[in-house]
Amino acid sequence: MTPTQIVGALSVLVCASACGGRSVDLDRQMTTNTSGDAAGVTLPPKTVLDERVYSFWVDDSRLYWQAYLGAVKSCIKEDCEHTRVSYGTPWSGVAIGGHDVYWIPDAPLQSVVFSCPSSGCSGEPRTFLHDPNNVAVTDGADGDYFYWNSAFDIYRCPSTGCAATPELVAADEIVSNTFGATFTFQGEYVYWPKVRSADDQGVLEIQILRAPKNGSTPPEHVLPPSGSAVTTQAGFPTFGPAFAVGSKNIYWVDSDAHILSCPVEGCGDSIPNELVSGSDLKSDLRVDDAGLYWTEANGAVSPGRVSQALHFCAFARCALGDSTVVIDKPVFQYELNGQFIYWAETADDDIGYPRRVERIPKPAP
Amino acid sequence: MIRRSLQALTGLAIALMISCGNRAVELSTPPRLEPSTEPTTIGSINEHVGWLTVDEQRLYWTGGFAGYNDRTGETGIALHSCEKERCAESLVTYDASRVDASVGFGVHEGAIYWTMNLSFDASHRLKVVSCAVTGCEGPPRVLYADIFNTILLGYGPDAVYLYDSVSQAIERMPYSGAAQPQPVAGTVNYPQSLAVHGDYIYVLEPSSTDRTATLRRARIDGSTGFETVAERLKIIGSTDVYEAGRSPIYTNLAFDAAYVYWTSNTLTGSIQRCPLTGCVGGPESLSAAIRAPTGLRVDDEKAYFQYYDLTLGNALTSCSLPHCEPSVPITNGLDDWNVVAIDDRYIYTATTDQTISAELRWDFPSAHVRRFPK
Repeated sequence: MTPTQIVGALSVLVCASACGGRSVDLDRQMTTNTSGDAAGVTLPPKTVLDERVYSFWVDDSRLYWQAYLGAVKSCIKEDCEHTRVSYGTPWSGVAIGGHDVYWIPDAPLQSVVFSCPSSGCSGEPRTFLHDPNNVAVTDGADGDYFYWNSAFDIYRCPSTGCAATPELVAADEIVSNTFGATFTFQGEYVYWPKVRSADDQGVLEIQILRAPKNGSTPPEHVLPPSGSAVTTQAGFPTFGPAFAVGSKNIYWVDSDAHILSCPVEGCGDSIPNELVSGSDLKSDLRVDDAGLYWTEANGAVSPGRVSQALHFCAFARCALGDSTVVIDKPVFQYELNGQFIYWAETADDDIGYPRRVERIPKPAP
Repeated sequence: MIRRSLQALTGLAIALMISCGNRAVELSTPPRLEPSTEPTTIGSINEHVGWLTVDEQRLYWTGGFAGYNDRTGETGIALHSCEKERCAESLVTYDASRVDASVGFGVHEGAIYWTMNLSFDASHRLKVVSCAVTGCEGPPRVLYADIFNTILLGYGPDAVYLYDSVSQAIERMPYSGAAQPQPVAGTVNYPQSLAVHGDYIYVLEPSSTDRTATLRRARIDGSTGFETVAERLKIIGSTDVYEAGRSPIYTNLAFDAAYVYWTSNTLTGSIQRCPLTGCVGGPESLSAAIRAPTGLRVDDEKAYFQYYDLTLGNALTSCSLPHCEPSVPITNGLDDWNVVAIDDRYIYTATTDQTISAELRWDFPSAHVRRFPK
């Protein structure tokens, strides 16, 4: 562990202690690794994967990543070093869902989506989908189905195979994959962003739509409500879009960098609920049962990196302006899973892609 | 659109160059059309069949056999025909290695017309040439020696019609020849398909706001500008990906006496049509969802087309009109997007046993030219 990491780790621990009084419900594996008391234990940050990555994903058992200049791989989170499997080298369109991994292979087979079981390919990858007319760029998987955006429509096919004509989820809809945006699944609905340029300064205006996963009713507009906007701020490097969907509410960052919420079906005539009012640039908004997470740009970090610290506020405290800096480093990407935050730091070199994936316990609500 | 067109051409060039590699390509290798005892196979040929058409006497096709040669400018694509009833014994080669296969070819009153490649740069310089269908006696007749920026051609009753990507006009070149092509209609924004039927030129024009297409037409005598027949059509006019060197452009329009037909070639595609008299109320969809239908041909009773099947690959099927319920596949493994042709009695196609190489190579191309009773 480098001195920088140690400082970072200590800062997280200090933060965790300062936010104390919490009872962290650690998963089974972590509990066996600790001698903590019943009132709550804190664990040191852990390097889950020590390899440079383009991007990563997490589910309940595995960490998946696209290696820098390489293949999509995965491992069991608690023993990554000894459980690695490799699937194939993607061009784009990596989707993780249920028991399967999907990806669009590198040229010249970009009209194909390959898949393998998450436990690893036994032999050649399965040709899950072949669209001779088009390349699926934006895709997602919810375990039961694989969803993708064709040239004109949003389709899905069962994870068991896509030999028949696909099911139409939403006609005449195009998903904007700007900043890595893709499908978000919540309950019986799939949500997606639609992006257009709002001005010539690089500001993008985002609409959020949703449709039943089975396409049984036409898509409906969810965000933004009248008088608001869902906007990525000019010049702010983001990984994910500035919206998140919870079980009851949808959250977004508006053009003033405030975080607002409305019911998942949209605001209707109601006024959005303002949860975070700070005006520092925010992005990559996520939500879990306890509260909101986002990255916030508030300065530069040598050598030439944007700080992009990870913030959290518990729902009950958000409106009070009571948020916590969970990771005070340049966060390249983070993912929430169970009781942990998996994250990767923007590398302090010319390449910029993270050198490793780490995890820390989530902050107490 | 111009970018896509150039990408298409560049992609084709790249694909062909890759297939050529550094090997010493024997461009003079003659095609070998072997007869077959298999009743539906007219012959098997050592080429990749990209475009196929038929008239009363003959069957015509482009055959790719080697790949683009960047030293000589040869495309590695030949143009052949044979008599339908004794194909192996009557093989004719009009052009051995320089056919520009991105715009197809046409047959009119005993002559075949095609474009020879002059360059593979962005100007897309072509030469339009012709021979008697029975074969070239000496060099082909040159209609136009050097055409720039042409990305589409259509073959009409009296002339070849081309789209000039600089002037954005449709221009007319009489089969009899003329000094220069003459504009015949208003401008069009980079059409993805061009066809001539009756008194009209039909084009599929990409939307400026999304990837849908608009079907437009103008009279070939130049008396009208382009009018919209149908719009917001979900038609992909050219492949965005280049699979095993397949032709990058689809032919998408077919006609009978009363209708213009096309395929919406998405994965939930369909056969659609509009009356030639006008498309009041919008296009009529004739089928339930079909996976990526292309290569549409129609006669008075039926539609014939290929579609994509994850297991079978490109498969050939037919259906009665106007309520199209596709038959079980007639055959599968079609060699390209534009290899369905019909005459009064038969459906013609070309299939291949080759599998797609991950490196886009077809070191030993082969195809079976086939026909099936209607």
